[in-house]
Amino acid sequence: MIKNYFFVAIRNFIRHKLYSFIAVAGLAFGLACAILIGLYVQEELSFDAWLSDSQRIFRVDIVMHPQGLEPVNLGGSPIPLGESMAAELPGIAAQTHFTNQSYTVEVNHQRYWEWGVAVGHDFFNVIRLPLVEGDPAKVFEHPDAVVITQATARKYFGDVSPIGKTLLFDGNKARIVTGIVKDLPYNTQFSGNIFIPYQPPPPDAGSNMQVERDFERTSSWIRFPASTYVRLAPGVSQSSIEAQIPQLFARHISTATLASVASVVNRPIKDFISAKVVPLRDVHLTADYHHGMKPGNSLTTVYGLIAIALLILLIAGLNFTNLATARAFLRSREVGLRKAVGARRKQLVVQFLAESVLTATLALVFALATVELLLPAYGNFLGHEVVFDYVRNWRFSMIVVAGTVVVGLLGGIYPALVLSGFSPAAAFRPTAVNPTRSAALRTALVVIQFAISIGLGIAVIVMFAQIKYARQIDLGFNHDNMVMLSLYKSGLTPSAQESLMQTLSRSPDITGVALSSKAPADEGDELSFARALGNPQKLSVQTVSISPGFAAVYGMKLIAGRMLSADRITDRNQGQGIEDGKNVVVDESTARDLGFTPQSAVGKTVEMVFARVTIAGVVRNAHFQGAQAVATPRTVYYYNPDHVNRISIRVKGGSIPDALAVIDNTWRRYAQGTPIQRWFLGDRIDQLYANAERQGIMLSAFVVIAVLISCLGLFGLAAFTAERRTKEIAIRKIFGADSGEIIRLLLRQFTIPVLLANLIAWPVAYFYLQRWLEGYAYRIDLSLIYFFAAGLSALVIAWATVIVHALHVARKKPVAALRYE
Amino acid sequence: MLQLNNVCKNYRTTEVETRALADISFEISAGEFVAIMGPSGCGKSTLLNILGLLDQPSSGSYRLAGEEVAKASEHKLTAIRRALIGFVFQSFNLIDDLTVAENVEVALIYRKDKSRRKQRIAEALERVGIAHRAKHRPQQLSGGQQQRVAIARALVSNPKLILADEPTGNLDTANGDAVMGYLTGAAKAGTTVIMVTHSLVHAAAAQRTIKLLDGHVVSETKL
Repeated sequence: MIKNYFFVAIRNFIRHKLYSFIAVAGLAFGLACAILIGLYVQEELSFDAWLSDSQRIFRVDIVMHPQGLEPVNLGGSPIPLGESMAAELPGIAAQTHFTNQSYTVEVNHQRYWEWGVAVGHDFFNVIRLPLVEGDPAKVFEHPDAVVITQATARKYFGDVSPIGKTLLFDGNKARIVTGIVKDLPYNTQFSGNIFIPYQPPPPDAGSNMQVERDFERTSSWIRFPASTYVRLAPGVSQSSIEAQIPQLFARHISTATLASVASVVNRPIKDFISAKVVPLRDVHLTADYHHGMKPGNSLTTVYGLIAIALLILLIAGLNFTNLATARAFLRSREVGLRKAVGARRKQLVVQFLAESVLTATLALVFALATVELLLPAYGNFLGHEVVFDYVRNWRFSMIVVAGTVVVGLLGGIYPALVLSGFSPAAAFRPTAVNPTRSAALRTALVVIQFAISIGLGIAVIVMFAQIKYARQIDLGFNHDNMVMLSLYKSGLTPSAQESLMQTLSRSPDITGVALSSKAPADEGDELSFARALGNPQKLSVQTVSISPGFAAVYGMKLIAGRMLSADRITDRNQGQGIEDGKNVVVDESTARDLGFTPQSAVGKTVEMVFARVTIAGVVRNAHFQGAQAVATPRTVYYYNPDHVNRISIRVKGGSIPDALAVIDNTWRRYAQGTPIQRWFLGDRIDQLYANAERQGIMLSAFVVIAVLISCLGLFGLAAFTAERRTKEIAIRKIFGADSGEIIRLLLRQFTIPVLLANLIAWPVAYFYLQRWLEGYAYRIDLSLIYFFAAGLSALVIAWATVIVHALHVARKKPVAALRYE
Repeated sequence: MLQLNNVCKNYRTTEVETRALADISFEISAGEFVAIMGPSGCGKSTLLNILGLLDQPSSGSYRLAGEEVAKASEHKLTAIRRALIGFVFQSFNLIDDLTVAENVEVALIYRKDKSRRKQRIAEALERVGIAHRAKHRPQQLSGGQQQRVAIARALVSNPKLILADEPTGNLDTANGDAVMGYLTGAAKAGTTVIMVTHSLVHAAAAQRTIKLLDGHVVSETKL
């Protein structure tokens, strides 16, 4: 019997080539998409889950609660937090932390810039990154040890084992390689080529050692540069640890330190600080800040992709159901015959479902081939290699197979029930299938398919419109032809930096040079708080140290007051940050949120964390993180030559190569062997939009496929309809319908479902896109044009799909059509 | 009403050429009721298709209502068909998805004739005694009832020419007689009726019978 079923299935498949092709191709496309999305989602959800003991490891993020402000999640923590937690809180089995830094590393007389992490001594015991050489418990026994990755080892030493070899850090610190970390896979938040044991910075020479140490000890609790990880003892809950952390801070921050920040932190420390203990596996998808680790992703994106995969599968599955239902009457005789000779309904249901699953399986084969073909390009697009190892990734393979069977079953169940339900007598009549009911069902399915396609189409249009809008917004500064240099670890003194700036600015190929603590598009915040004197309302603000020429070099516009000047002693800060009693320049949103107009802000005193400052001038807002950022920036600019990390160099558009040569030569003269770190600001600005653009491209690719699959289904249905309505069309022609009227008749049949689909798609898309846009400080309005564009495109595509059949049918001679009746 | 002169129709496949009609010439006056008879394959239906402008002769002349249509364009043929001709088929050829009334309406909608449309449909259905079934679908009717709907469709536009291709072929005697009654009535009212039939009894209702054999007119009998 099974053999008979099998052959009937195969023959049916071959006899109705077009329908078989549509069902298989649509499902194959759908499955291929779902598999590609699935592989990506699997990677995103598996971040660090592969590390042993990962379920017991947590990251401790500190959240500040300034009075009257939204909580600020710093994502980081103070360096001493982990050790204190282990010492003072029960239930901490182990702890470690890391801070990221870049270093120059000299090996075999060659210097490299490397991205590295300074980690707690127990790092490899807590975060069990696999070591190919070295004992995790012993690699950091010596403070001058270093652990490097396999790739770094190959870069430095080729195939020679690097263990025991010496690397010279920042030109003055020798370290011995004690371990090699296996090259890390994509799905870990940890990055870095070099791991060194953390050591507290030595106090400045000549200072009062005891005072320095005290300050370091207590003020280190109000700085948050580290990521702290703890391994909890069995049975200890995250919430119990979270509850104890504010008290821990209260114990460690001295009264003197607290007093120095009292202007802003004017509430008990336990009310000001809270902690979020985040499972290691969730960090990648939930953390707001990443402290130099791999950029995170969001659960919303991952869930969104899963939803898209399911919608595409739904569209493909509906094709299946639709075509099978449409053709049910073609097989009614077979059903009648089988029933007449004794087949039970159940047997027929099984037969038809088996056929459906068989078709789905065939689609899976094509889908897997498609996936294999696309994987290299997909990996390229995502920026890391993606593989589908059927054996090692057996769980995923099982899901794919099970998913295919489920799609086959769901797609086949309705037609199977309809077909098997014919009574043997009725089955032989041409009217076995109720044409109205099955046509209504098909229309409903087409409506669903197009609603999904149109909804996704609107999303794509709005997404690109928003990206385009964000890119066109005046950022408030000019980044054209701006070359950036990093001064980090250059060893240049403030006066040497100043001299380097002067030398560069004398070049005829360079139009302006400025120094700053951070550059546009730089990661990391210098977060502070500010409030106008006598006004309880506090603001969180960014602080940026700039040289007096910064605004001119960047073309930033002064709105009120004056810019900072090198000649005024009250404009110039020394030491770490902003000094008490100095002048600052603020941007217009800071002035506004402090309660001033730009003009009235000038001369006003503002309280910041460590200092009272006076506003000397107000500049236009500059969107250093691009216009796609979630919030309007608020920036306080100050001038501190001791606190600069970047040189911004505007070069002449026509002489970029010459300017770069001047920059490189000048750098070599000043920096004495430190490799140059140089980039174009425009490239970094582009990168700010890259993620959104990549998501947009990904979404549009999937939308194209969704539309393609919908159209395949529509094409099949149109072919079926044209076939089924041949007689009707012939009759209409005999009674005087011309070709145009026939084409309109057929197009109208497919126009109505597409129009109905718009009614469903528009409100749903509006609801989600409105919420999506709320994530942007500068956003487009959800204009109806986007909706019409998607709806009209869908209609035109549907017409284009149907018109081939319509033309064919309309041109047929009616006599020929009726002859077959 | 119409005039055929030396009309030939050839069908060509890759291997053979078949002559379906050879040198057919006759004339039919307005209001005449003509029966066409002959064995299967003699060319009756081909002739009817040419007369109904559903097909065109390979050669010869066909004048309908004073106009030469043998070589007319598809557009022109559609326009003339729309204005002048009503059809009745052996297998009724009703549209399954439309109701009885909507099926009758098909003969009016392409004439862009909107005046009193509903009333005319009701009258046509009344005339063939099927008005009570106006909202049913064809599948819910018997063969005889379906053919009455088809007749109503042919009559509703008051055509100058009705072409009936074995209209009684699928019907029992009573229904067949009823259908003949409607056609005769139409002819008496001035409509030209040309009917292909195998039935001598029904052919007797016509004023003239043209007999075909192998594509030739072999005899013409006038009552």
